[in-house]
Amino acid sequence: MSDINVIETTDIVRSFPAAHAKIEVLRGVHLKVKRGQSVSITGESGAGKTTLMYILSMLEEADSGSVFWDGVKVNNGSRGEVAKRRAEFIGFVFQLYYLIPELDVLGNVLMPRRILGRIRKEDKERAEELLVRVGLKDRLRHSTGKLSGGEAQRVAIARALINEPRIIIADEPTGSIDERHGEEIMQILLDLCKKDNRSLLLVTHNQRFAAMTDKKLVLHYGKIVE
Amino acid sequence: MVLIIVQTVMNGFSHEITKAMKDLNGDIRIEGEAFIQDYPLLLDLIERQRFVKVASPYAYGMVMVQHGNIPTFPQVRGMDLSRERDVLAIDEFLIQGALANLDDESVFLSSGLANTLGASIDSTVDLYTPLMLYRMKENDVLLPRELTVAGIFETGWSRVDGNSMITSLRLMQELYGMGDSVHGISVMLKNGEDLNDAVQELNFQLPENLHAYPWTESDRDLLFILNLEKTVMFFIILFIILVASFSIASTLMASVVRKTREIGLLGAIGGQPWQCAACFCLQGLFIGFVGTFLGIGLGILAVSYRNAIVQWFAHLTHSEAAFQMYYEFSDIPAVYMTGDFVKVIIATLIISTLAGLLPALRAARMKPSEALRNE
Repeated sequence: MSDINVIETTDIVRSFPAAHAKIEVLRGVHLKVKRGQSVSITGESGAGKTTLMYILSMLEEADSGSVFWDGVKVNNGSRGEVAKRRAEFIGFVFQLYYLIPELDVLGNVLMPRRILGRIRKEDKERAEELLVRVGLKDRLRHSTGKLSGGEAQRVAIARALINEPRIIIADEPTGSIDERHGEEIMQILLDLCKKDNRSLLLVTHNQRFAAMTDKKLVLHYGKIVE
Repeated sequence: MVLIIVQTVMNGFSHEITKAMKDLNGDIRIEGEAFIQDYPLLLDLIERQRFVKVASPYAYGMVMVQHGNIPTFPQVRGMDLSRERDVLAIDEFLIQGALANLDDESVFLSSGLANTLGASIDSTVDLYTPLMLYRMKENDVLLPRELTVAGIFETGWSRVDGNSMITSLRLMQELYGMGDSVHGISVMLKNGEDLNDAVQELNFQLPENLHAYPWTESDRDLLFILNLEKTVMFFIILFIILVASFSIASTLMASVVRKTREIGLLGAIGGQPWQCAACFCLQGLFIGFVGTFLGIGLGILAVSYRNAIVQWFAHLTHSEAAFQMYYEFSDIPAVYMTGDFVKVIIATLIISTLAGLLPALRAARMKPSEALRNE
């Protein structure tokens, strides 16, 4: 683990308009994730975990505060520029996998590469290697509809890693899987990140899985508590 | 498909009408304000022109014909049999009888006229001319001219087939009291000669009291209407395509809603807004592409079996007679023109791509975070 902050936020504030007043979800969030570090964020439902995750990845803008990726402030770039940078910087794993049903397993893993340009031979080789690493060697050409929840999440993990991002942001990656398969998924995520010195930001409700990370944070009343 | 069928059939009608006009009147018609007196000299002058294949004099007018108790008033054309066969394709149009049988005591009736009169080959018809009526006013005894039906012709153009007849030039001159004069001269050009240049050259050579007219001018209004009809039909059917494009747009809009999470994912993993938009625009283009070529294929198929389809429909609705009566041709003509196909392809592809534009814009403007929250 190095001292470089892969992601850093300072004083993030985010509120949403309600009927009579606005609801302040994040009230000055300071967060640092170091290179190779795994960090978990837990909190009650509606605490703003997913909102914080979207702000960290610049999928959503904060009302105030700054977001830094590798020490560079990113919340003043254009949507297009940020999207391109995000493709190479962050890999996402979502609770509901979000696989594209029209594509097979390999096609889904290659999707982030396709967005960045033409698929080369080495991209295919890397996708196949990743699928081998997540234990789906025999499922390359399978339709995503035929996969179990655990298998679908492993495809999503391979997809998150295809662009060799600096950080994986996983939002409840075990939320739709049973405990045993959830543990497998967590182990795969942690192993793959550790092996490649990649950071992991895990948003979860599960205290046991949160405990598996290097640093455990709690989002409480819109602020981060260690 | 509809656009292809309409355009092809309109072309066919236009082609048949213009062909019939040309076949019946020759390439160029020469007429004056009065009868043409010294037409053999004029024929000689015309036929000396390098672009002229043959020229033939004619006389025309209206007469009254009676067979049994049925009178009718057809248009009659008197023609020089020795020359006319090179100008008009009379042989092609004869369905009964032979050109050699036409003499100064016989006539050819159009199929419609023969039906109306109930006359057939070798029937005798009584013919009255305006000259006879004039003489009757001067207390002359009115005796009709008895003529034998030597042939029945059908051009396929009901305007001609309905009510017209052909006689020899000499008979027509006699009936109309024209002496040796004629009403005009039909000219057939050699293959490949330019019609307008030939008309210009002839007008330069002809005496001042005569004028050469191209066949396109004989029924200029009809040709104009045919072109106008085709253009108007194109635009009307373009509106049908426009309405169909709304269904493409609504299908794609539903697809944008159904694919909200995928759009969110695309944004999250680095997709640019234009890439999301392009997905839906391309989908519109694809639908348009498949639709266009499927439509063209079905259109060509329908045009190929048009007569069978119409006959089946007429039989189903018991309207065979009405079809024959109200439409100019017994068969539905069709002519494929590359230009029409290109116009149809371009128009439908543009419209269907534009139909994908609205859903594409919606997809492009969707925020990834909102799309991902949409579970």
